[in-house]
Amino acid sequence: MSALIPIFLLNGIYYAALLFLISAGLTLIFSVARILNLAHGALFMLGAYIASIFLMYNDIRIIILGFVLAPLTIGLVSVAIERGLVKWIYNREQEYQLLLTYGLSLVISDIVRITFGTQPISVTGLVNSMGGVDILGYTFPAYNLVVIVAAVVVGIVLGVFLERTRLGWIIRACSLDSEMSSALGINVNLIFAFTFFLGGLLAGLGGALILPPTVAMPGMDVNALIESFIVIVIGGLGSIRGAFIGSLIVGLIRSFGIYLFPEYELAFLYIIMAAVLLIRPRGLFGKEYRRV
Amino acid sequence: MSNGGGLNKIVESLQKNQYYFILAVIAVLFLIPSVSSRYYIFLVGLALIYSIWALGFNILFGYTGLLSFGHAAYLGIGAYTVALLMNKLGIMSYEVLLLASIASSLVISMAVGFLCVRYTEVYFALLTLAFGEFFFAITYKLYDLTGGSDGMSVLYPTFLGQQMNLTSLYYVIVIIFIVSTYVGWRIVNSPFGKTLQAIREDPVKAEFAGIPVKRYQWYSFIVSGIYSGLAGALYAPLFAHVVPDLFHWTTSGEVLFLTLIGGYRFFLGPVFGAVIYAFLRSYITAYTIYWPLILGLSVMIIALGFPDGVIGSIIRFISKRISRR
Repeated sequence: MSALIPIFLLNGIYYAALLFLISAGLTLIFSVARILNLAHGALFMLGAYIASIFLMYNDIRIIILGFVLAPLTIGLVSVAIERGLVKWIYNREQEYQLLLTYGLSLVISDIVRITFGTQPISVTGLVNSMGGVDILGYTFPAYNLVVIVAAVVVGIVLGVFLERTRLGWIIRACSLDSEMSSALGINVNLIFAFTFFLGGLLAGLGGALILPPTVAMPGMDVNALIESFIVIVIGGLGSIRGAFIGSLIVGLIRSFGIYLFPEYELAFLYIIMAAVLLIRPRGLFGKEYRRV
Repeated sequence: MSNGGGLNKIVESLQKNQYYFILAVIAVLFLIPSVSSRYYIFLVGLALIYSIWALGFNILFGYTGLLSFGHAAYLGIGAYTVALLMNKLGIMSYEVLLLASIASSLVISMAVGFLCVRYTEVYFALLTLAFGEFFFAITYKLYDLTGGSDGMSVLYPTFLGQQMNLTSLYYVIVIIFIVSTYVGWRIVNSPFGKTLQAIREDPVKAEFAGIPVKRYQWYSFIVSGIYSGLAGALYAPLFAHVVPDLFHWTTSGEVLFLTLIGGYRFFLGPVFGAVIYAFLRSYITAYTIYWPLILGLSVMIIALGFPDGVIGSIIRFISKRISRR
């Protein structure tokens, strides 16, 4: 067992990397626009399916194009959703906001089903051709290392963007108080749309990156959504740092849990979540939740 | 405004003769098996099960103001309690099975509710959804116990020592529907129900008025869970089969959807919604494979345009015309 620890660690971090991409988008949109986007999982799934169109080719240029185009497309779809639908219900009760994005999630996943069918789509070429890396006598897929690096880079870029750039400051200002920001002359509508674009971009990237080692299939949307919920509950809603730590915790628990108690790994995850809820209700990094 | 006046008269005469009206509905419900085909007995039975479930859901949603996105869990627990006791322990007595379903949904909703009511609004929805999916995943995983994705078959149980069939099951559903509607009506009009509504209107004020808000929300969650469990216990033998999809969030979405069709601002709204939904769904799924798409679009349209639900909007429209006259 002890010799396998590095591998479990890496697997957990790889898993956390993907979870971070998904949950960071979800939490970003919530913190700025106060919308819990239940369609986020469906956007993630759509990203995986769109990437599959490109990734089935053996040409590295087309594959890279896929990794660029899939997130961009999802980002634009996300903006279209915000401008076309979500915009109208910012001032309504949260029930309707949840309901709208829930309906949207059903629509997107059914469109995916109609377009791509229900058979799982697998593109293993990339993972196979990249081979493995030897780590203490065990082989770890090189592709997974690339995903980890990519997520870390995205996390750092996102952090620097939000903390150090002017646009990042404006976004954080909007998340603290969008009315006041609007009174100060900030075009809040534009910021909301941009946040949805960023969130969609991250979901699409997550979808594209998860595809090569796994498959694109119906149901992956709900799984992703629920797991990013768990991440968010543990890390705290509306906090990117919380999403980062939450992803690591969930990723590592899953990776070790699958080995240690395969039957109850999922239950264990929920027990951890329940414990965080009881001990620190707002999540590890969450701010005191208040109605804005 | 001759039209509004006509409607006004209808509403008035309904109010004046509401007891006759209720008796007429009950009589129709009891007469259905002797005049209609098995298909319609099944469909009306299903509509009544949906009604019980949605009435319970609406005690939490409409009356307490908490939107649960995981209410499939308690329906599923009721149904799986029946299936498990029948398949693993060979218990065929429906009296026992119904009581066991109430007990199991009570225990589970107590535990989950205890965690979830610590939050409101979006967090509450998120948590109920996450816990709902937990039961979905666990029924998939525990293959030896639950049959995994194949589910389990359920036979007609016995009631008062008699072997049941579709018709007798239907009568049990009707009776439980009537009783639970009556009990629900008493609940929402009791001091307890009024307290819940006060919490819905303004939790902070309610807290200052000395109401232990969290505890009342928890009670509401439990009542709602028991209704759902009971609906599940009726659902299992009607469908003769239980599958993990019962726990899925699309099932949770269904109860929300049908409550919203009917309108959650008045007591019987969910019942209207349930009847419309059961029939609509059965016809639409017979003609098209795009049911989730249609469901999703309808949910979006309701969210954007009909905040009081379809029936609620119609009633509001009518009462506006009446008052204008």
